Amino acid sequence: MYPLRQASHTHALSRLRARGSRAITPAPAKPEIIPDVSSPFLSARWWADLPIARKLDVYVALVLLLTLVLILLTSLTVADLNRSSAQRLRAQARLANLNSLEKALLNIETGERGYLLSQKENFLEPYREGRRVLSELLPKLEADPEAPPALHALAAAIRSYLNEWAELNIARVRSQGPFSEAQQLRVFEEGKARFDLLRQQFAKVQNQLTEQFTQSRMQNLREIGQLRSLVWVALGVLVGSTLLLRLGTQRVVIEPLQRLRESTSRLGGGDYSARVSIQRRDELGQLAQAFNLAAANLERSNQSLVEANRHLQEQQAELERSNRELEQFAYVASHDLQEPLRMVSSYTQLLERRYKGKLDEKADMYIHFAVDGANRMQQLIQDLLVYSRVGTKGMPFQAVDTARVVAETLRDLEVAIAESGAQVQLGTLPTVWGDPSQIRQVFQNLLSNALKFRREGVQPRLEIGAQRENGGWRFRVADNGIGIESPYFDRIFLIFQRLHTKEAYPGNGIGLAVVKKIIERHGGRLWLESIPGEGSTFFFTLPEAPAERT
Amino acid sequence: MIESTEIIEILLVEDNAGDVQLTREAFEEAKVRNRLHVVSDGVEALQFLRQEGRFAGQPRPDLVLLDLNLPRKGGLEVLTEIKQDPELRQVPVVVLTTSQAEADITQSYNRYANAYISKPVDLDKFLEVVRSLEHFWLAVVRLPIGA
Repeated sequence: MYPLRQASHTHALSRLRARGSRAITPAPAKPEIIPDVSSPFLSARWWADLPIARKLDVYVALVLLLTLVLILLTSLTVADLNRSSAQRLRAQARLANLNSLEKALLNIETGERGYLLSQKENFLEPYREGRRVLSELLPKLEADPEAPPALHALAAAIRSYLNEWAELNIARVRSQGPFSEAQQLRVFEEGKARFDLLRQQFAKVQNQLTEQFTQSRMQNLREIGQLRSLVWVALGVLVGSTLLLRLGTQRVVIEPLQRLRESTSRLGGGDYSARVSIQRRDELGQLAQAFNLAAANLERSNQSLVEANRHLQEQQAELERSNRELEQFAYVASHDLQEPLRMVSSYTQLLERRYKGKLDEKADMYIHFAVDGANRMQQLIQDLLVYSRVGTKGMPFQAVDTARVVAETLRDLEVAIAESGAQVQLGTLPTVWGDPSQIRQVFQNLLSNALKFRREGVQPRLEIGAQRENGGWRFRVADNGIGIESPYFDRIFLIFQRLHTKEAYPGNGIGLAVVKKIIERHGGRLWLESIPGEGSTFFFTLPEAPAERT
Repeated sequence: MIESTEIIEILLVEDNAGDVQLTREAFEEAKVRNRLHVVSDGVEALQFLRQEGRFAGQPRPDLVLLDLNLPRKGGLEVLTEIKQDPELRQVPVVVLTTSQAEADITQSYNRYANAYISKPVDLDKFLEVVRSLEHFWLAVVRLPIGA
């Protein structure tokens, strides 16, 4: 038993592991529906998962069905009520007819008896009136299908009384004269007996009719009560369905919507961990799933963005540090190189001074190369120092009037301008935000380049201008010199890169590198357009002074 | 130009033999008759000036050329001590160094250096500097007698 259980345990474990390993493999992004274990009823689950539109359909169908049933019941009840009312009216009419019948019978009996006593025709008036009423009423009463059975017996008794007794007596008196006293007494006694019989029959009919009327009235009242109940039920259904609709909407639509709204505003506020828990498969459940998926994606991409940003910042800091170190290194190296170089340079020069022409020609040549090499190295170190100082020895930024800077630079270049006969055209120049001496260096280098690389036999023409661009200023320094071929556009900005021999155009290839570094320190861009043989135009951007921004 | 028949005594405080030789060469080309005394650190410089120890018989210099970057005692300290010493403060001290740092220049003048000169890299310019030094301090400037 024990080992068996253990075996099953290991099986379960391996199954678990298998599931775990399967979970690691990337599953297709599919909204996962977590079954709602809190709801114990299958029907509740079924109802919860039903789309809201279907829920409404079900609800409307139920309410309509209920309404239909109510309408059916009401119309049935109304029909019954109509019927019982009519019945009641008819019973009432029958009672009234019975009353008239009674009066007519009394008239007949009175008229007959009077005539028999007096033989006067005018005593027959009530008799005839009674008969006329009877002849009208009796067929009507007999034709009534609802008439009580006793009525037919009463009708037959009335007819037999009239035809077999009253008419006969009247005819007898009219033809043979009045009865004798004895005869009369007998006739009256028999007449009274016959009429009493009739009266009994009548009372029976009256009882039956009264009973009928009472019953129909009771029925009528019952049905009115029924109708009233139905109206109450209908009102109850109206109120109940309205309340149910309100409560259902609250639970099914409004509450989930509120949760969704809260989560959406949390997400909008930057809380990417916001999720909505709606354990249903209806439209709002699907919306919640979609929301959760979107939020998860957002959270993921935000996370990677944050990471990427941090990585970038680290790289930036690292780059800045290494750049600073490099500048420091270049500065220190060139500075410390000066000392031994001064020795080399001074002593080779001393050697030249003291021993030139005293040794042989070769020695002179060696000395010349040594002096030349030392001089060049000295210049290179000087340039390197200048270049590295852009980053390490810069001054704090301030407002710089470029019009003044350019004017001063042109004054510095006065001799070169006069010698070359150059024509300078100045546009309106703005005040910018930067290091004054470095900005001056930029103009100095660009303008002296423009003068240096002029075309033989062409009067040099320089143009300096500026225009606004993206919250800063774009400067242009144009010349009509020898120009630069486009493949070299990038190379000319590298330190110690030259396109011409020193014999043709003196210089160390430091000027444009320094310009580029200064512009970059100011957060600007530097580029050029050029057509070889026609001229070059250098562009660069500088930030505007803060005072101008207001 | 004022001609002088006296021998001018110059103290060069410099630890770099190359620079010592260069300066010597420069003064050899000079017109004024001079004697160049050389010490290679700050301690010796002060001993020389106070004629202490092995410098007991040495003359008081007419001009001190002082490097800043020295072993044992730095040039600025030496300068401070000279200028605080009532006996020595009248001796003109010219700081002659490779440093072009603003801080060095300011600190030297704050300690009453009489002049501050960066050594030029170019030989001709260096010779020029030494010539003008000699001309200015030893021929033009009038110093108190007995200094």
